[in-house]
This record gives sequence, C-alpha cells and structure tokens, in this order.
Amino acid sequence: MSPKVFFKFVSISFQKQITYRFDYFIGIVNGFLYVFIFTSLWKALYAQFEVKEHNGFTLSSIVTYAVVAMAVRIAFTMDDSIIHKKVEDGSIATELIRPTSFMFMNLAENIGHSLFHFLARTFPIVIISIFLYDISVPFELLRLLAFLLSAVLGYLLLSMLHFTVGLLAFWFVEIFPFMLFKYSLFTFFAGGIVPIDFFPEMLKPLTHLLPFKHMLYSPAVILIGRVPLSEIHTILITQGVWLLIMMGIGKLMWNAGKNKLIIQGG
Amino acid sequence: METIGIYLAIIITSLRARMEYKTSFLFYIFAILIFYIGQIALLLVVLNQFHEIQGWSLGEMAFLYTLLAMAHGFTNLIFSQLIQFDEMIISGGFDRVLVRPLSPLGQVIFSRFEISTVAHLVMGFAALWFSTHISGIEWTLKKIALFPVVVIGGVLIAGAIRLMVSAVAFWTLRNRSLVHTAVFSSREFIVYPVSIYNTGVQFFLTFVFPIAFINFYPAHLFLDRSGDDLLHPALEMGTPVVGIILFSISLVVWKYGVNHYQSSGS
Repeated sequence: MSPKVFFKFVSISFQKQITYRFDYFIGIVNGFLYVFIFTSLWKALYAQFEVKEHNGFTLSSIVTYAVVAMAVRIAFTMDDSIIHKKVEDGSIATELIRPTSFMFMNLAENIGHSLFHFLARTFPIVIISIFLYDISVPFELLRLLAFLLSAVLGYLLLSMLHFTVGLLAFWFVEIFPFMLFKYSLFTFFAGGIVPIDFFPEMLKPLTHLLPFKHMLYSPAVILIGRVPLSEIHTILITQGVWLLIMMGIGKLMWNAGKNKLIIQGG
Repeated sequence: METIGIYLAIIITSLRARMEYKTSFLFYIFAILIFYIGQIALLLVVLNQFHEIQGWSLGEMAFLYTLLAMAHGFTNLIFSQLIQFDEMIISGGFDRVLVRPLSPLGQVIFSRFEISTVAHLVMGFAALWFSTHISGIEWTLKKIALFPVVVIGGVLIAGAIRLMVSAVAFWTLRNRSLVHTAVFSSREFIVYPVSIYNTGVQFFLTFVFPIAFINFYPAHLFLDRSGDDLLHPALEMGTPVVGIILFSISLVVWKYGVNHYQSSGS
C-alpha cells in the first residue's frame, strides 16, 4: 500500500470525527473525569499508611502513572466496530476487489480515529493534569524515544486485537459479546487502571502469557521511569514478538474469513 | 386499563424479538457478567493490597456496590431505550411515536425491555449476599423495610438522569457522549465511597448531580456507620426524597423538550 493512499484513509477517518462539536467537549470532560476519580482513589489509599511507597510506586509516581495510562488509553481510542458494520451491510465485498491490503487499510482508519482523540482529547487532559497534579517524568532523550517506540508498538498491538475480534463477524451474527469480553480483559490486564505491580503474585504469571500488558502498561512504565534504561530493550523486543504473533493470527483469520465470504456468495 | 394492555403487548413483542437468537442472547448475558466481574476484580486487587478505602472495608465496599448495581439494574430494565434516544430523533422514529394516541414517554420506554440487565441484578444480589456475610449487616425489621425504598429512590435518581440527558437530544440531536458520560462514566464515581473526593466534588455529587444518594448516603444507615464523614448526618435519609424531586424535574424537562421538538425531517 502506498503511503499516499494510506494517509488519504487516515485523513478521511480523522475528518469523520470532527463533525459533532458538542460531543467533542463532553468527551474531554469524560476523559478527565476518569483521571480525577483514579487520582482521588490513589490519594485516599496512600493516605491510610505511614509507608510512602507501595510496590515501587510513591504517591507522586502512581498519580503520574494514572494520568499517563489514561492519556495513552484515550489516544488509543479506535472504532472497533468498523469490520462488523462492513460485514453486516455487505460493503466488505468491495474490500476484496481493492488493490490494498485490508489489514493496513483498517489500520489507516484506526490511526485517523486515534489521531483525533490524541489531538483533541489527550492533549487538553494532559495539560489540565499537569497543572492540577504533582506529575514528574524523568527527562531523558533516550527514554522518550523508547516510550514513543513502545507506544507505537502498543498501539499496533491494540489495533491488531480489534482487527482479529472484528473478523469474528464472519462467523457470528452478534459480535457485541465478544467485544465486551475483549474490553473486560483489556481493562483488567492492560494495567490501565491498576498497574500490574499491584496484582497478587498468583495473577502475575498470567499477565505474561497475555498480550494486554504490552498495550498500555509497558509504554507507561517506560515513560514514568519505572524501568531502568538498560532494561528497556527487553520490553521492546517482547512487544515486537507479540506484534508478529498477533499479525499472523490476523492474517490467518482474514484469509479464512475471506474464503467463507466467497462460499456464501458475498 | 386498555393502555396497560397495549404496553404489555409492546413489551412482549420486544422480548420475543430479543429471544430469537437464544445462544447469542445467553452469551451476551455471560459477557456482561464477565465485564462486571472484571471491574470488581480490579477493586479486589486494590483492597487486597490496601485492605480498606478511606475506612471502608471489603464487605462495606460490597454493600456500596449492591445499591449501585440494583439501582442501575432496575433503571436499565425500564429505561434502556433512552440510551439510544438520539437515534430515534435523528431517524425520525420519534415522529411515529407522536402521532399515536398514547403517551410519547410511555411508548419510548416500553418499546424496549432490556432483559439482559438481569446480569446487573445477579451481580447486585451476589454482592448483597457477600456483604451481609462479611461485614455482618444486622438486618433489623426497619432496615428490611427501608431497603426497597432506598433501591426505588436510587432508580428514580438514575432514571431521572437518563431522562434529562436524553431530552437534551431534542435540542442537540446527537448527544451520545453526554449520555455516555452522565449514565456510564459517572457511575465510576460511586463505586468508591464519595468521601475520597475533595469537598467541592462531594458537594457536586450531593446537590447538583446527586448520585451520592444512590449508594453512599443510604449505606451509612444500613452499615450502622456514624455519619461523621458526611456533609450532614440527615443526608442518610435523603434518597427517596431526592429521587422524587429529581424525577419530577426530569418529567418537566422531558415535556418541555417534546413541545420544543421539531422533526429532523428524515
């Protein structure tokens, strides 16, 4: 797929988002509401103890984590029902005759959606939070670059997750339960609300077996300085491996789904 | 009496349509249960680490959740159609409602009877059983009599909020984000004791957007907590009063909206 076509899709998907202004302002309120609730929660929890540090997080670093994780999560917002809608109304058939890879076109649409959320929502929320909370991020160039790379990998992973679950629409009429299921696992295991360090020991091995923590937790802990610079490359490599696995699954499912579509007569 | 018969017929038709796909319906309920279990599991992870939140133990938190789940469960059961009310306005479906000789609100409410919210009620009763067991609530006759009153009060509050934000669609047409924020995101506030927030927000959740009455205030009464952390001890008894006042206001707003309504023309 040529970059020009790719960015065309990004821009169309971006423009779709700006149509509703009222919705946009409420969206910022909505995002900040979550930041506020969880920072209040951590403050109340930390105030209970003499101890200043829990699982390696001071109050300041857990508040930073809460803001960063929420900001990343909002920036990562995409429309996970695109494929389902295309299968439902039959427009998926036109995808088959396009000379572009469906997987990349889907990614382009996701990026447009997310870019809007990043500029319009994440940005204001981060600015507000910087003024309201005690946020500290270590300023090291290498770390910032590693964070960006890790965030991109995390984003691609999440996009692939939506892609594979979306493809289930080829086999099931009602796909909403799967999406809810995916959302539940993501909310719990990606560490967007409670970082994985706080999980009980028996749950931790499970988090290593699942891809979710590489979507939010990994970039967030890199940025806030929880991980020493010398260990960052292991995280990035693991993320890369997960991405290859997920892309493989996505590719297999797309091919299987495509065959099913042809048998049905599309 | 005849109108009741008509409403009953509408409900039965919508239930039948919903049950058309039995397996997908069951899986849908299963997915909702997983979703709530995931949310609760996060709370358990935090409590496992910190034992209590601002003086609220696990059992007491479970009781907070009981009142929340029940109020939202019954509200969902009755007012589920309001979530997509803007769709009805945009598509022109509301025009059809207006020409019939039945109350528009009655028709909107009864056009869908969301039986899948059984999941909320299952969670609510499970939490009630759990909290009674752990925190050892003493179920006196007075409390048993008051419980349904408080739940109904909570339903009136939650229902009034839905009605009001849906009515906004009469003016703005699309108001998906507002509904989402006011109905779903705001719920996140009262998963935790409202006392963890700063005074300004406590005031807001008590007098402006009074969802603290759904669970936080009445929980003091059932758990025999001293009302020391309350803005005022009398608030413990406020739920039914606030419910009736708020619901009356929401009916006025709705009527005003219907009168203001101009068809979108589609």
